[in-house]
Amino acid sequence: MKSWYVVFQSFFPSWKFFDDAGSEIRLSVRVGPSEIELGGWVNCLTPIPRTIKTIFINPQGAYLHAARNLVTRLSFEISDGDENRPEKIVEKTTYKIVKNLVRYQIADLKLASAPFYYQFRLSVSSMEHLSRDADHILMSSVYES
Amino acid sequence: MQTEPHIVLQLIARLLAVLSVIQGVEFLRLSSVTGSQGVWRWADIESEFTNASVVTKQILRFLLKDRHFFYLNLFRIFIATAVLVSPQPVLLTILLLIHLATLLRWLGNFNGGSDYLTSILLLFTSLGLYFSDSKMPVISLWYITFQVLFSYFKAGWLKLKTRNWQNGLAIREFLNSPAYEKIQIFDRLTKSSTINTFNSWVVIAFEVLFPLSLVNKDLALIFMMAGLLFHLINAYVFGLNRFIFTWLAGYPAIYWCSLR
Repeated sequence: MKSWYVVFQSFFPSWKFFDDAGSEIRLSVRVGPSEIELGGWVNCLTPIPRTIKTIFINPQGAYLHAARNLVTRLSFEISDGDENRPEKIVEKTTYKIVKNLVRYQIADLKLASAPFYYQFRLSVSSMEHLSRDADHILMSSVYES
Repeated sequence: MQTEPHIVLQLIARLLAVLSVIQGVEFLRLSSVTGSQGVWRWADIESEFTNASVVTKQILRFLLKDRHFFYLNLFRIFIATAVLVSPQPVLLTILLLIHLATLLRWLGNFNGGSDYLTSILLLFTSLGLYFSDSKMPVISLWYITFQVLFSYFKAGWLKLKTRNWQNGLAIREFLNSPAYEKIQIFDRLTKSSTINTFNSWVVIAFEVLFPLSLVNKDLALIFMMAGLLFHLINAYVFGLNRFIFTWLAGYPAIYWCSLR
């Protein structure tokens, strides 16, 4: 019922914008023709476009913002979750939507054509040290498309 | 200027209508991601409402299920167009309900701050117009002004207290974040720590000092012009296009309050 709370909360915002660069959360995916032949990890979300054309109407930007917010929400749910039962995360609505997002992006980015296998991961790295190794907070099972 | 509060609220309502048209058009363009084979599928989202009453679940399903959400946004555009012609409070209430349903559809994770200010503006503009013969229009204008000024002030205050904003590091990181398309000019601009620190302090000063717009109408106009420029830049740099009309919709209230 967190969603009802979000609606209520929308009348009492925190007004925090870009206050701290903090960390970069990255959703990556790898795909392949079989469970044991998965390719290398690639970024699942493309960068938000910066063009004058999208200053007033920007559906692609809005979608990518929503996708990044979704991924951030999943990272919060992972850190708030039961450490002893990490498998519980796959039952969460947010996880299911992120899984849909991965599949949608594989098709959108033309990373594979059906049928294929895929696995995704969520990584967190400090914005100050993006080049350093990221901390992988979620590694999904391998799924069949 | 002795403009009646309800006239100012009507102007705010029309700006909100423009915002609603933009939101509606964007959601229509995104119908593939809310469809049954998309990302935010109703079949998954529905599980968030298992404890709701049967009637509530039926209403939500009727409004938000896959293709229904597409039609809801067509309806949003139709109502918003009607508000542009005649800003009736009942129409604004419908826009508010559509907006809140949309928040549920995206599990509250669509456009962050602009969604929140949209909720506040739609609610208080509706209330002010419903009870136009009472003190409500004045209360609405002051409350909207408070929220808009506070949004700038608090965002600026938090930056002011953050070391990486004081030394310009944060602005460099945000401008070069891999979440956004790489632009050569930002690469070059952010190489200079002097420029980063200067830009940081310009942003902080603008946000923290924005409440000074209440001092008089000239200051209000200066801050609102700067605010418009600020939001246009943010729309380009960070893809926050919805913030333009959301915050712009609150400006008539600030101007009216600056005359008191």
